[in-house]
Amino acid sequence: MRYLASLVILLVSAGWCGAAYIYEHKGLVEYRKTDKDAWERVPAGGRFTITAGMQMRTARASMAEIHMDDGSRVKVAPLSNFTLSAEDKEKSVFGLASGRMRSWVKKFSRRFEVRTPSAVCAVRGTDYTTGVDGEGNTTVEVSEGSVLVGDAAGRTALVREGETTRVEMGGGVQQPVVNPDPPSGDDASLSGARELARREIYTEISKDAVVAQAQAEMQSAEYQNRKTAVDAFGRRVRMEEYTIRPAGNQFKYVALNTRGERFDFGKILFTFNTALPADLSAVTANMITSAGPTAPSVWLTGMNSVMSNTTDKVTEDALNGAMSYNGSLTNPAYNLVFGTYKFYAAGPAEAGDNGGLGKELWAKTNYNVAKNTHGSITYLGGSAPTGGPQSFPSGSDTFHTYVKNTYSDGTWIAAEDFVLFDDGKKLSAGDFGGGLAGGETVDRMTDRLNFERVYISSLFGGRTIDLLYSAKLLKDIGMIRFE
Amino acid sequence: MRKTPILAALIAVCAAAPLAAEMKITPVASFNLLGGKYFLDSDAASFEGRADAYFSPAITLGEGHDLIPVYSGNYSGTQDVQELAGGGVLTRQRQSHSLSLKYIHTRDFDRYKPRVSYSKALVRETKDESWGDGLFNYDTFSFGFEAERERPHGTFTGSYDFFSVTYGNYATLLSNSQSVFKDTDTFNQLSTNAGKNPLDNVGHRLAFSYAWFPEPLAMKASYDVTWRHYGDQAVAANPAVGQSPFRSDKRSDYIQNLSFSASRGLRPVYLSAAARLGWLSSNQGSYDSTRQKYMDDYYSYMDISLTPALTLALRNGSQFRFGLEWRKVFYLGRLAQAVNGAYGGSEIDQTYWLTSISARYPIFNRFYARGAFNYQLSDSNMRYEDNYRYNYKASTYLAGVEWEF
Repeated sequence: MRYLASLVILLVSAGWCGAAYIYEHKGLVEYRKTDKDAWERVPAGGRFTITAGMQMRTARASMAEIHMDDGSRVKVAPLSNFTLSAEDKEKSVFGLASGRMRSWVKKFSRRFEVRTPSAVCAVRGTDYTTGVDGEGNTTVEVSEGSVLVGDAAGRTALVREGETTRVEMGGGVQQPVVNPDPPSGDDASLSGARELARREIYTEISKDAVVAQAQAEMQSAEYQNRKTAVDAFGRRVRMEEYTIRPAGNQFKYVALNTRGERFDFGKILFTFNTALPADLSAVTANMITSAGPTAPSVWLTGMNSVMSNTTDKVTEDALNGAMSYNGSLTNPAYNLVFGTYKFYAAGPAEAGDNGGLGKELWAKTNYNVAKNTHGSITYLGGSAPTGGPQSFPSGSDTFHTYVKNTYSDGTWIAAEDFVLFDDGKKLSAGDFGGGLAGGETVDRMTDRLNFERVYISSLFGGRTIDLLYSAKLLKDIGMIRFE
Repeated sequence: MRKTPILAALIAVCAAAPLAAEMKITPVASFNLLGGKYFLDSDAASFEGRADAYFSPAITLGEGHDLIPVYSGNYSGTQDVQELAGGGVLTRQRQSHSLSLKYIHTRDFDRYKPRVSYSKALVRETKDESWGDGLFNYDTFSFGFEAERERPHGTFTGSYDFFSVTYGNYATLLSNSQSVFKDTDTFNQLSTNAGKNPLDNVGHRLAFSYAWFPEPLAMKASYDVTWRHYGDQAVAANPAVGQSPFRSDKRSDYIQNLSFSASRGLRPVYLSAAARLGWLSSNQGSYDSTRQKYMDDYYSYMDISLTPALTLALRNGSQFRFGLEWRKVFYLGRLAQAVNGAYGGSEIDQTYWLTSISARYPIFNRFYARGAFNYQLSDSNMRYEDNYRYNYKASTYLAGVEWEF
């Protein structure tokens, strides 16, 4: 009997000697017996007994689950550092220096405490999580039961199930409140669903931002290529401009416009005396005037332009082009002269006139494009049209003009011109900074802007032709002038 | 449509979610309302507002199983300093709305996250546009998968994402003009290979990152590569006799980014610095019909950026942040132009200096007062800028409130 009693006492004593052990661990978990010892890795596999005074730490992505003989257990989160301060039949005391640990304490068992740099959490029978941040502040979250939390000054608060409190390093226990972000499941490695969700939301928003950035970049390129602009009336115009080469001695410029449901287009076919090089800019730069005493080898022999709203159209047709010497010894040059240059307009009723060109409104012979002079001119109805001189509806310093010609048979056509920035702002003298005398010329300025022409005619049944396009090419070939 | 079965599967997952006994819903939300002005040099836009918000009823289905549905939206009535400057878009308005669903399976320190999302971006730029009619409105459908492995030495993350972007209001003018173009030869020449929806694009993105933590620093290295294909955007050709201005091949871009960041906490100050090298390679060229100039490799560029930042975060929730960004972009085929628009022989390069200052201060409960100021300097060898600006100063100031739950 005495032997049996001795055996029981021995077993119980032996049990309390090694009552806490690492039941499971993952990643890198290290221990040391005193501050002076080096950290050693907890060996893999099997139970690892923890004795009082032993320090332990978990690395990132590492955890340890500690069991005690009374059935209580503790789960230590990554990046935690603690000491098993006491472990005997009276009590279990953990000293949590940093990190988080979740404790499941058996009811009616020994005293169980988690001490931190700023707080003491004492319980009997509960499930709670203790966290310590880098400044020593403590957070206690109770999942089941209740925990008495106290600071060094003896101030205490009872934290009930579902509540949380915080103890500042300098002391002071906050009034417990409902925990807005309780620990997720029984895993202490994550602080809560809210933190997890917030991290994923930011990831999701950043993925959206990557796509949005790519789309914004592409839209910017569309703008920089001037494929969208705003017209003189504040409407967005989508512009597409193309150059195609129907034959070796030709190229065609095509401009397409849409505004809402409206569609307008313009096209100009240039025909030269000979085959053109791959780089068209080599010939377009000297199409109208070729400086120097030597006649150019490539010149324009014909030009046909059409502007249309798909129902009505205005056509300019020039033939028999040749380069003519200007006769100057000091500034010798060759200028483009068309043998004939005719202007037509057509609504649906005139669409078949003159081989599909429309109703002829005027025709010039020997039209010198550079000098804007001609030999003879004939008009629809035989006499020159009536109409006021060119007017400036937006003021004399703004590039917005209007002119209307009425022919003797009653046919009339009006043209309204604008020179615009891409945002629809009309060019005015004020845009030249120091004024035209400041070195900037109208000619140079208009190279960089858009040109909008609006035609309205008695032939169009109230409709307009309204086309926005880059000004430079048409100015180069003399179709629009700024004089 | 490919998206239908995926969405159906996710809806089924959501519908089944309430069956889980351990299910718990945790709402997460944030809302920002700011007002301010955008300045381009000395020109100021009118006072406009910005708002952004997100909401998520994060669902824990059980141990290691989470579902995160998210709505996020934003509205901006002011231009951002990093947007294209000039072009009469001082008052560009934007709004976007996004719905996403992500499932997270956690096993120890490994996480697996399939996701799907749908978003709608609306842009209004001119008087005659209503929100639904914006030329550059687009819808994005995306799905992907992310795997994360957290280990003692560091965290490795790999992800794949697919996205499809559709511009419902943008189609080539040529595709709308066949019935009205009364010149069949011209139409045929132009329309060959032209396509209809040139901005629609699909992308495949692979991203990898590794984060490690040598005391006292936190470091991260990332690499991502995206293949973006414009299935209906023909490559522009140098005009040739009898041929279309478009080649038969379609535009494809490869985008690669290599970045490296380091941060250090010196409570309450946090310091960080990041460097990034980017390369966009595109087969798309451009023909300037006005100046008859063809440029190959028009969209390709390389860029490099350096981004240091300092954050002061106090215990009461107050925050102050100061950040700088230096970014230099080298276009590989886009030629610089003189003031009069004439092309030179060198490619465009552009340097940006962005300074950002922001602060927030707790007012009550979860409300914060927030202020932000951004200032950007841009400098370039591109001198042709009557329509769009390459050399400018732009700034925004914004102030308002933030609510976080």
